[in-house]
Amino acid sequence: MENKGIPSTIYDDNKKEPVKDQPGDTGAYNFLAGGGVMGERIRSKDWSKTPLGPVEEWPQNLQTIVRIMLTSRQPIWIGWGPELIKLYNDPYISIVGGKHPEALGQPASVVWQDIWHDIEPMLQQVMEKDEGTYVESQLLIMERYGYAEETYYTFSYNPVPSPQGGVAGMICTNTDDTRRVIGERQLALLRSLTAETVDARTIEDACFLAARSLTYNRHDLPFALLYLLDTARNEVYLAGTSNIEKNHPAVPERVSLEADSVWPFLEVSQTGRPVIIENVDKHFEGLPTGAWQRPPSQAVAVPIPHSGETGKPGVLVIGLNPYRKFDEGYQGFINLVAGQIGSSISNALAYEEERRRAEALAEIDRAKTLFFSNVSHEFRTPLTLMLGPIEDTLAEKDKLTSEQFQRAEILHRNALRLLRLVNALLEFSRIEAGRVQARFEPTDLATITADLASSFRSAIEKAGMELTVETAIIEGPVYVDHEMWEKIVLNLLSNAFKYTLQGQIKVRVTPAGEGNAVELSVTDSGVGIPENEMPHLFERFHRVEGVAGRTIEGTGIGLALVQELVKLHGGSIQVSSVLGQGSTFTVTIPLGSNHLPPQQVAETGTTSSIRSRLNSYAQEALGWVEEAETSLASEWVDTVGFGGELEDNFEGVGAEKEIPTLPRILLADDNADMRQYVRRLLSEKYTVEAVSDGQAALEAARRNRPDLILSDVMMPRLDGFGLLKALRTGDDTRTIPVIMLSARAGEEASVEGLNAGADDYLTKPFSARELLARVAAHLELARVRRESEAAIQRSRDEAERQRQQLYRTFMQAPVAISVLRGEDLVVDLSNPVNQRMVANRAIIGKPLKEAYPEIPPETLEIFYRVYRTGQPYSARELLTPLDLNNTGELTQRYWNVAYEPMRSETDQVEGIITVSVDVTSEVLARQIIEESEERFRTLADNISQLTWMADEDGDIYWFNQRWYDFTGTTMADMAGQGWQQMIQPEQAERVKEKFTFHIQAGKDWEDTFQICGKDGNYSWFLSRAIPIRDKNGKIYRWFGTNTDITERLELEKRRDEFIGIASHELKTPLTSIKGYNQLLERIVRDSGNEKAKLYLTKANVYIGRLNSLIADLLDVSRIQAGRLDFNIGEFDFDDLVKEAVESIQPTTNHELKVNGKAETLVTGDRNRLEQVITNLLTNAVKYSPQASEVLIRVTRDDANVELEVQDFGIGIARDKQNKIFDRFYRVESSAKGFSGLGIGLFISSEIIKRHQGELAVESEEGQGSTFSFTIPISPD
Amino acid sequence: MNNKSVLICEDDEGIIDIAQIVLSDKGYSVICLVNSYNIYSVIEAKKPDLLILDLWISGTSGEEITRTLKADSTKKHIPVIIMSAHKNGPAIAREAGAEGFLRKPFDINELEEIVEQFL
Repeated sequence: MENKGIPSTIYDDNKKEPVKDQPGDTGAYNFLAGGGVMGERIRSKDWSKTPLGPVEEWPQNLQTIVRIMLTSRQPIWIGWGPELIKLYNDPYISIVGGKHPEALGQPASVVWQDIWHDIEPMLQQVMEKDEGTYVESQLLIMERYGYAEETYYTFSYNPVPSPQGGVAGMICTNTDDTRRVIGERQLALLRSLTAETVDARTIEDACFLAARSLTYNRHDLPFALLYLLDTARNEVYLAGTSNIEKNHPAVPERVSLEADSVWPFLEVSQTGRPVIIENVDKHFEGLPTGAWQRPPSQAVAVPIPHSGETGKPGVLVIGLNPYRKFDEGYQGFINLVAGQIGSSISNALAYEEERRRAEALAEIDRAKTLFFSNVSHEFRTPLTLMLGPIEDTLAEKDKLTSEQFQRAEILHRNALRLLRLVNALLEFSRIEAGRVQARFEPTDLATITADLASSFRSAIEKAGMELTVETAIIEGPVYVDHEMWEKIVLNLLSNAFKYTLQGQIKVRVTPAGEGNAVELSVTDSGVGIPENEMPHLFERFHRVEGVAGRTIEGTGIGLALVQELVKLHGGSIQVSSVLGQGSTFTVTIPLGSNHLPPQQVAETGTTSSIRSRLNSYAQEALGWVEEAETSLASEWVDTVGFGGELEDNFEGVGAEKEIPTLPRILLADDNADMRQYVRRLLSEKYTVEAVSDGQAALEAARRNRPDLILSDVMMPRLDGFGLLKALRTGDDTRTIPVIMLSARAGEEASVEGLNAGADDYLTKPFSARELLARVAAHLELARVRRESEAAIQRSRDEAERQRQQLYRTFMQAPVAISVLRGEDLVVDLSNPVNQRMVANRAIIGKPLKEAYPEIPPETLEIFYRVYRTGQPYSARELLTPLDLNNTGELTQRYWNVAYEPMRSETDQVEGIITVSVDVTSEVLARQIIEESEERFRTLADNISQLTWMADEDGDIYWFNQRWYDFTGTTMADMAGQGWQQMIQPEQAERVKEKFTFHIQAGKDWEDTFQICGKDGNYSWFLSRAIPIRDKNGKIYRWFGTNTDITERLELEKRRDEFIGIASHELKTPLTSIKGYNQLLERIVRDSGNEKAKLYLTKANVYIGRLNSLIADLLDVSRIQAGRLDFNIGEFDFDDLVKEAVESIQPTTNHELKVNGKAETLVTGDRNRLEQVITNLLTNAVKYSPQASEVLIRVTRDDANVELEVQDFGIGIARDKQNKIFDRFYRVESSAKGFSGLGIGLFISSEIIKRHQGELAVESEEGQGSTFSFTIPISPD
Repeated sequence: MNNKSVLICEDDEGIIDIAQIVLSDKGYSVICLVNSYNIYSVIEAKKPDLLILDLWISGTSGEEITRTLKADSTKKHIPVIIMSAHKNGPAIAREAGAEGFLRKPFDINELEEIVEQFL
C-alpha cells in the first residue's frame, strides 16, 4: 500500500496536536492516518468482527473514500456493503449525536432507526439504481447537544461503484442548513407581521391581525396569546390568539394582576422583562403543538412595549419550539415580534383617536339634522289630522254661514301653509342627511317646464298680467329628477308671481354654456331685490325687509330649497335684479349625466306628466288673486296678528303627500248588500269595481286588469270556480290574485278553493279587519311577485339580448367562430365562415365529437380540457385535418385558433367560443418563400460577389459563403452591423454614415470602400444595397452586393497613364510638324513665292485642327473616366470672350459681333470655358456658311453670367435638338459635308455642367441656332 | 550675336532640330540632349544660361531635374522652362520651381518669345 502525498504526521483541526501514526502500523493502515477522534476509533476498532472484515482486506475503493472522509472537514458518512455499515468522520459526530461512538460499524438501519423511513427510499435509490440523490434542507430531529433538536441538513448521497460492477457502498456528504432555514422563516414572519398590521385602524384590529400573522410561523411560535393591560381594573384581557382555541384552559379571557395564574402577567408588566414558564405541558393538557408532533414544554411571556403616548402595554405569551433551545437568537426573535406588535397597536391607537375626534364632530351634526327631522314629523301628524275635519267642514258649505265658511277656509289655507313649511323643512333635513333618493332621468325639459309654467297661466292672467313661455331646442339629453324640477320651477314661478303686481312673467328654457348646459330663467317685472340683500338671498330663513308682495305668506326657505335642489342636479342658480324693475332667477344645469351619481341615473324616462299636486301651487296662487279681490285675507291676517310676518318674503313650497293611483279591486258577488259592504270596507284604500256574477267579472277583468279579484263562489251564469278557471287560462289574467269568498264553512271548502287555483279563501262571515289584511297581503305579494318576475324577465331579456348581439357579431365575423355548449360541447352556433370549414354540414345541435368526426382525439381533448379547467387555449398554425368538401377526404389545414371558455353569471363554464382562422395559404406561402429564399441563398453562395441580406433596419442576418470565404469571419461576428468592422478604418465612419442614411431614407445605397480580407489585406469593393418591398411598398429586407473592383481600379489607373502618354506621344510629333511648317513659312515668306505661302498657311490650319481633335479625344476619354481636370481660378469674363473671338476671327469671313459685357470676375476654369466658347463659335461659323455674321451676347444678373452665340445657318431639327449634346452625335442629314467628330458639344456640355451651369440650344431648321450657357459667377 | 547658351533636353529629335535652328538663328548657342542621363554633368561642364526641359524625358524627368537644380545653390539661378503636352503641365512646372512653361504643340514664335524673356 502506498502512501503517496499523505504526510506521516497530520494535524487534527480540533485538537491542534500532532497525532502520530500508530507505531507498527503497516502499509494497510496508512490510509487511516490522522482523522482525529474518528481516525483513532477506526484504526483501533476490530473490523474483522464486522461485515467489512479486517482492515487489510478492505478493497481499494473503500480505502480511497475512507481517506477522503477522514481528511474532510465536511460531515461525511460512508455506508458500505448491502447493510451500509457506517463509517463517519469527526465533523459528523455532532449529527450522529448521542449515537456516537456506537454508530461506528453499525448498519445504517440501526443507527438511523428513528429516521429510517425517511432515508431508506433514498438509500435504496443509491444502492439499487446506482443513482446519486440529493435532499435539500431536510428536517431531522436530532440529539446533537443532549436534547432533541430541529436541524436541517442538505444530504448528497452518492454511490461508490464496485470494481465488479454494481454498487459497493455509498458516501454521504452533509451540509448543516439549520441556521439558514430558521433565520429565513423568522425573517419572513417579521415581514408579514409588519405588512399585515400596517393597515390596522383599531387596537382590536391590530391585535387580531398581529395574532393572525403569528400563525404563519408555527415552528417558532407553536401558539401565542396576546393580552393587553387594563390599568383601570388592574387586570389583563385577551386581545388575540394564534394557533390556540379561545376556550382552551390556557387562554383566560381576563386575569386580575393579583390573581394566581400560570402566566406571570404581573411580573412581566412590572419588571418589563421576559419570564420563562417551565413545564407548560404539565400545567395544561392538550396544548397545541404548532408545526411539531409534541406540545411545547416551555413558554415565554414577554412584555409588549408601548411606544409614544398612544401605546398600550400588554403581555405576549408564546409557546416555545420544543426542538429549539431558548437561546439568545430565539429570545431576540421573540422580542422583535413583541416590539412589532407594540408599534402596530400604538399606530392603530393613534389612528383610532383621530377617527374618534372626527366622528364626534360628525355625530353632533347628525344629531342636529335628526332633531330637525323629528320635529318636522311631529308637526306633520297633528297637521294632517287637523286638515281632515277642516276639509270635511268645508265640504258641507251649504250648512255653514258664509262667515263660518270663510273662517274655515282661512283655517284651511293656513294649515296647508304650515304643512308645506314642515314639508320643506323635512325635505331639507333629508337633503342634509344625504337621504334624498333622486331619480335623474332623460327629460324633455322644454316641454315639462312649459307645462309647469302654463299651470300658472290662469292665475297670472286673472291678475291682469302676462305670462310668456319661451323654449328653445336643447341639443343633448337633460337629466333631471321630475319631482325636484317641479319644485324648482314652481317655487320660482310662485315667487315671481308673489312679488309682481303688474306687468309680465317670462319663463325661458335655452341652451347655455358652450352648448353643454341648459338654462331656465324666470323673469318678473316686480319689486326687485335690494342690492345689499342679494348675497343672502339663498340663505335659509333669510328675510328681505320692507318689500311689498302679493301676499304676506312666506317662510324664507323656498329659495334655499331651490338652491339645494339645483345643487343636487350639479347646477347653479343666479339672480339679477333691479329694485323696482324686477328680478331674473337663472338656473343652469349641465347636460348629460356624467356629473350625477350613477346609481341615481335612470336611462329611461317616465312619462313626463305633470302630477296632480302641482295644481295646488297654481291654486294657491289663484287664491292670492281671489284674496286680493275680496281683500279678506289681509283683513283676517291683520286681525289674527300675522302681520308680524310681513317681512317674511319667500315662499317655500314643499312636498305634499303624494296620492298614488289606488290599486283596483274587482269584486264579484250576486248579493248587492254584500257588494256594498265590501265596497265600503275597501273603498278607502282601493278603487273597487263591483259586478254581480262571474261572467261580468271575467269580462271586466279582461277589459281592465284589476290588481286583485274578490269572488263569491256561488253566482249565476259563471260561478266562482268557473271564473277562476277562465282567469287562469287567460294570458293577461293568469296572475291576478284571486280571493274566494264563500259561505261554505269548513276546511274542505277552502281546500277545494285553493286546489282550484285561488290564492286565498275567506269564509263568510268575515271580519272587516280580516278582509283588509288578506287583501293587503295579497296585493303586496302580487306586487313583489310582479316586480321579481319583471326583474327576472329583464335580466333574461338582457342576457338573451346580449347573446343575440354576440351571435349576430359572430355571424358577421370574417373568421370561423362557433359556440359549443354544455359538457358534450354541443354546437350552438357556427357562423358562415365556420360552416364553410365543415362544407356546410349540419352541425348545429350536435356534440363536438359528432359534428367534427374527423378531428383526432388528442385535438378533441383540447376542447374538453378548456371546458373542464376554464383555461383558454390558443395556438398558432395548428395542423388539423378537416373534411372540407364533405367527401370523407381529409385535408390538412393550418389554423390559428383560440378556444375561450364561456362563463355563466355564476362563473361556471357553460361552453366554449372557438375562433379559427385558416392560415394555410399564409403558411404555405411562407414555406414557399422560405424555400425560394433557400434556393436564392444557394445561388447567392455560388456567385462571385459578396452578397448579403438585411432586415428593414439594415441589420444583416445573412451573408453568402463568398463573404465568409473572403473575410474569414463567421455569422456570429457579423450579425447586425458587425460587417462594419471589416471596413478600412479610415473609411469606416464615412461609410457607416452614408449607409445608415440610405437605410433610413429607404434609398438605394452605393459606395466604394476597402474591405479587409482574411489575409489582412484590404481590397476595393463597390458595394450596393437595394430595398426589397412587400406588396404594400413597405421595405422588409435589403439585398446587398459587394463587387471586388480592385482590378477595375487598376485598369482605370492604367488608362489614366495611357491618356497621359498618348497625349504626349501624339502631341510631340505634332509640335515638330508645326515647327518645321513654321520654319518653312519663314523661308517662303522671304522668297515671295505666294503659292507656297498659301499652301503652308493651309497646312497650319490643318495642324491646328489635328491638334484640337487630339485634345478633344483626350478630353472625352477623361470625361468617361471621370478624370477631366479643372484648374479653377478667377478671371475677367469679358477678356475671355474677347480672346476667344479674336482667336476665331482670323479663321473666318463671318463677322463675330460681341454685344454686352459681364463686367465681372468669374470663378472657373478659364481654359475650359475658352474651349467651350471657341467650340460654339467654330460651330456657328461652320454651320452657317451662307451667313455673314455670328452674334455673341453677354449678359449677367446678380449671380450668373450668360453667353449666347447666335448663327443664321442651317439650324437643327427640333427632334434632333435633344441629342446634339450626346457624345459622337452629328447632325447628319442636314449637316452633310461638315467635318467633325461630333464630340465638341458633348465636351462643352460636360464642362458647363461642371461649372454648375447648363448648355442649351434654341433652333429652327433653316433659321439658324442659338447656343447659350449660364454659369454662376461664384459657384458653391 | 550673343554668348548666351540654352540647354534643351527633349527626346523628340524633330523638336530638338527645330529648337536648334530657331535659337541658333537668334544667336544662342544651343546644347541638345535627347535624354537626361548625363544632364547634370553637362550643366556642370557647359554652364548653360537657360534650360528647356521636356516634362517626360527618358531618364530623370524634367520635373525632378528642376527640383534638384532649384535645391542646388550653385545652379538655382539658371532659369528653367518646362515643356509638355500634359494638361497639368503648368501646375507641375510651377510646383517644381520652373520659371517658364511651354505647351506642346508650340509654334516657333512662342519658343522665341519665351527664350527672349529669360535671356
